[in-house]
Amino acid sequence: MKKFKASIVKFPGTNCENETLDALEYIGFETLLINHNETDINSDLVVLPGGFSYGDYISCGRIAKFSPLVLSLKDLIKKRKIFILGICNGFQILTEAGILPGAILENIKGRFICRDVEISFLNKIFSLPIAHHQGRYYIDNIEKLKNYEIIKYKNNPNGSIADIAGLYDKKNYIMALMPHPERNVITPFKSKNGKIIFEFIKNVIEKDFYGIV
Amino acid sequence: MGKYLFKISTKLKDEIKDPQGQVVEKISKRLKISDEINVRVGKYYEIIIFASSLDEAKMMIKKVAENILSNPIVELYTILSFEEII
Repeated sequence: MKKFKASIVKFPGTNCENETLDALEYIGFETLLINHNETDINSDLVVLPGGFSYGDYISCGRIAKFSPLVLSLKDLIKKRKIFILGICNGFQILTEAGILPGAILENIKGRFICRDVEISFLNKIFSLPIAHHQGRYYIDNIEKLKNYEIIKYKNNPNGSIADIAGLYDKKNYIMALMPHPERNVITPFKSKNGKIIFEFIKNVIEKDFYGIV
Repeated sequence: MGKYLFKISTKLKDEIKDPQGQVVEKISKRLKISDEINVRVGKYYEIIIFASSLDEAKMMIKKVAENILSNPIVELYTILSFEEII
């Protein structure tokens, strides 16, 4: 069976890279931890994991958007088929960089929220953990999201517009979400719901990138 | 080469809810300081920049403010003051 390659990006302050790496290995990816200065990427999947890149200076993801890797992502998306996944801080970086529309603001109640929440994605409802202080998705016109698949909160925890927990750009293979799927894949005594997200991505790569049915 | 000091502030756009501002409002009311109070929380920056002219310095500061200090989708920046320093 073909093993797809996944690169997990480490910025200064990233702290979810190991769980992400382990989860993707478990799903069947060949994983590689790469530095944010890297621009020569030859993997099928690039993951911007959770954490506090550059200490969240100025605002979450604001400084990371200038890293060589993030700056090269826009060209890479145009050049070849590559799946980009942003988890939590990764979502913040992707919106700050303009790779995904909108912006992510401080939670509506101003608190750090750390708990399991129910989300819906592709007609499935399941729970995943969130852990963020800045997770309130904002966009000036919701019409701008008409070509995106939306991952929604069942009970909006942070004041996100239209209950948005994540976005999936089907055309450009970019997915980003605030919940942490990597925390619920192999962790004992936790659900295995994170597999739903990673297996979905693996299937997309299989079908759309390699034509494996 | 001149040396210029810029004072800049950033804040969320007025149409966007500001939880930190709301907390300051709430506490001001609770302490009976004022019932009519509207607070927007932002950030303040002092930047010293070297440039050949004030116009060039302003252009450089605009780039810093638009790209690094603020996100134009949700935030506004204001140049509060600028001066040449020796």
